[in-house]
Amino acid sequence: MLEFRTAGFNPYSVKYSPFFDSRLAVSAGANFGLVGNGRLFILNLTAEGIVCEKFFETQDCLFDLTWSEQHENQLLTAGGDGSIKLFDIGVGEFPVAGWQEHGREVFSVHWNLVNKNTFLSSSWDGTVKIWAPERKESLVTLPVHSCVYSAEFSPHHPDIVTCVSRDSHLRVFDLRQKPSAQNHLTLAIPIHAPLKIPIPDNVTGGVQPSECLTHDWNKYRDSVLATAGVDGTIRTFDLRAPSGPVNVLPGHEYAVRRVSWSPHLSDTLLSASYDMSCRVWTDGSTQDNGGSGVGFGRELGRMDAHTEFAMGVDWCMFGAEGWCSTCAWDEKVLVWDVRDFMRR
Amino acid sequence: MADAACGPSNSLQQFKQQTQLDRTLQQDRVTSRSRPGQGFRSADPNAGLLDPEFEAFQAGLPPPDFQTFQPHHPGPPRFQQAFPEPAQGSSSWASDFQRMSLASPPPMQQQHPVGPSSSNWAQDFRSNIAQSAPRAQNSSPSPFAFQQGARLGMNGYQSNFAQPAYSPSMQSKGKEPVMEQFDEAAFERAFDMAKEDMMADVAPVSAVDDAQMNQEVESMSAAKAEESHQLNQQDVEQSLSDLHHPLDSNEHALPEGMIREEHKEPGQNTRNEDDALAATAQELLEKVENNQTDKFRNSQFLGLMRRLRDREVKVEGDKMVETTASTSTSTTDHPLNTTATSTPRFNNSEQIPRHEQDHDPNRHQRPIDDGADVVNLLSQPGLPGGEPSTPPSLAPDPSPSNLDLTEDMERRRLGDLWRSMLPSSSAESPRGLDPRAHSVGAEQSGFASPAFTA
Repeated sequence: MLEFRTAGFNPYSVKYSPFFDSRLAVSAGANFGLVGNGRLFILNLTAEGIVCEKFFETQDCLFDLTWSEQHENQLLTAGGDGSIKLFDIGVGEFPVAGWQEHGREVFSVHWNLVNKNTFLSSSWDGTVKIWAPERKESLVTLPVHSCVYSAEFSPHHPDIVTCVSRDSHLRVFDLRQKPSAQNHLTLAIPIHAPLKIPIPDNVTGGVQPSECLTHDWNKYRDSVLATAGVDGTIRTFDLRAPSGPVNVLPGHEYAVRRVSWSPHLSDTLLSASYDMSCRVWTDGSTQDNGGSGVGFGRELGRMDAHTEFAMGVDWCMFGAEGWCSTCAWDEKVLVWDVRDFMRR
Repeated sequence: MADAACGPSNSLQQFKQQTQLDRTLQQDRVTSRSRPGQGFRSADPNAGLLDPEFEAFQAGLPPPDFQTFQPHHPGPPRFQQAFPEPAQGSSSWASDFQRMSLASPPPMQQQHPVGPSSSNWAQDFRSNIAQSAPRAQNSSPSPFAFQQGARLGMNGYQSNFAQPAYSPSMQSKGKEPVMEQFDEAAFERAFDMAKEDMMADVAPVSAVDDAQMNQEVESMSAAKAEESHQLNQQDVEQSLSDLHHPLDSNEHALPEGMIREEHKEPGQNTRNEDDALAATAQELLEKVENNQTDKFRNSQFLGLMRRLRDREVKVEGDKMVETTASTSTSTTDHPLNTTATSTPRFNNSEQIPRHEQDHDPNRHQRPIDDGADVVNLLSQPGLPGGEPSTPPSLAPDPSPSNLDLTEDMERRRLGDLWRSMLPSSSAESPRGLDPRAHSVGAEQSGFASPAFTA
């Protein structure tokens, strides 16, 4: 396990570069993001451990970041002051571009993985905005009317956007549709809905709505997503059955801050939680029951090295399938192999 | 449309084609959407109110009762509250003046005419002016305004602004010059008095007066003050000390009326915000108090929350500072202190000057390196980040939305972050499940994914 200390700053998000297997970026804020400056760290994995290649200072906490899919040296940050900034590692100490439209904290940014000319941002002002890096103003604003904690493009389709928000709903937007009164909204799935197929030894009916903090698209099954939030439960959804969750993965004691599907295994999830643990899960879809995605999900292992709330996780796309990076408010960024933490 | 493309064509058909064209895609809200503020459709409560009035006018009838008109914007009532003395004094003074029927236009101070003496749209318009330019009241070019200010003397004049102790004697003095009997002699005397006062005051200009004048100038230069922005005592001090950072002080600049209103209850808002912050921290701690694991007991974040709750730490501006009342000696393990000692260079208690943040005046002079082509692309006019001198999105002065964010942001952010941490009390209702029971079952099964064991 490799470790890097973001001294004086509490990390919120960590992301592997999609271009280099040894490059990481971490967005962080002083004073746990409540007040004070933010900092964007560019880290390199070297033979001597993790080395900070460069960092950028910002006025306010950076809640999220995403690497550009167009340029290997560029990355976007989501600022607590409502700004989105594009940094270039090769250029100076200031952002090369910035966008300011959101009225409140921007809480997530995500680059379109298919049509690499657009990216999105979601904010506590209750909107998701679609942007193009060469335009000053946003292309589209998707109103959600609730604090949007997380928004993503589908990795399978350039025009599908999903988001999860405070109101306990998973929304799906199709940008190909005409902008009618629906504002591209095609689906709004209640996350707290009971399971369609009840799983024995698991009470899932009648759950109260709770804020949903994070979600992620499965990288292999193009209709499957996972969400997680304040109730500490990870749920998987299949957009082909949009009435409620397909699978429920309880286990975290407190809210789950981030989930991420493995880029190598279609059934494996990694999560970070306010209970200070990071856990590996399977949703059971590749097991003996036919791989329908309705298997019995379970926790595969947990990593307890963080000593404050765990905030960010990301899988390494390169090399062996188990490497990942996590960060937490203990000012630590850890790079580790989940296979070391599997239950034997 | 497609069937119109083939077959015989005539001009009527062409026209029909034009009208039936599906333009919904072209009318996509690309531009209208990008401005969140302009998007809403809050209806004007007065829409349609004017219609019968207009019809009556056209029909030659006398205008209906104006009382029904409600000023739409929320500005004027607040404004009136911010200027209780001058507004009242000036309006009575002005009405007295009008009663004398001097052949002179009514002075500008008559911003809030009592009763429906003027037509409602005009009133609306005037209070709009007052809202957007509150300085108009004191900078009115009317000689009588000057006289009033002169009678007050320089001190009295300043007491209109940020004088913490608004002396009642000044106030009565200010109300006095209601001109019951207007005569030339009094007018002349007033000028003499003003001259004397000025001569007396100009010589011993204290530093405080100077600073206050500066502050006033600064607040004059403020383009637009956020209405909801609450200014407290600290902010006033902050803006005083920030006078040499004009960019920075924009954030604190407010019309002096608001400043003075704050002074009526000094420190009230500070205390309220601190209370709210402490209450939020308390709520947070109650949620985790039954968790007695080492991690939670030793958590620095929860330690900070405890100190916030106990008022040992408070938020001041962009920093967390220890309150003076805190005499604890065991602060060595505190994150704020470790921050300061372990990384002296990046001590976050030391603010980066705003003009050095996030913008790069010399970007075009930087050596050409890896990302230069992208920078060149982005520096083209019309692109974000272009025009290195003043890139719009990176300019250091805060936009109005920024002002909005700074207002008790830390409390809201703590509350929001907190809400995202643990279930709220409503969501804590028993789900009939110990969440760990399931994972323990998984543990006992001893199952490991074959892919990982390979």
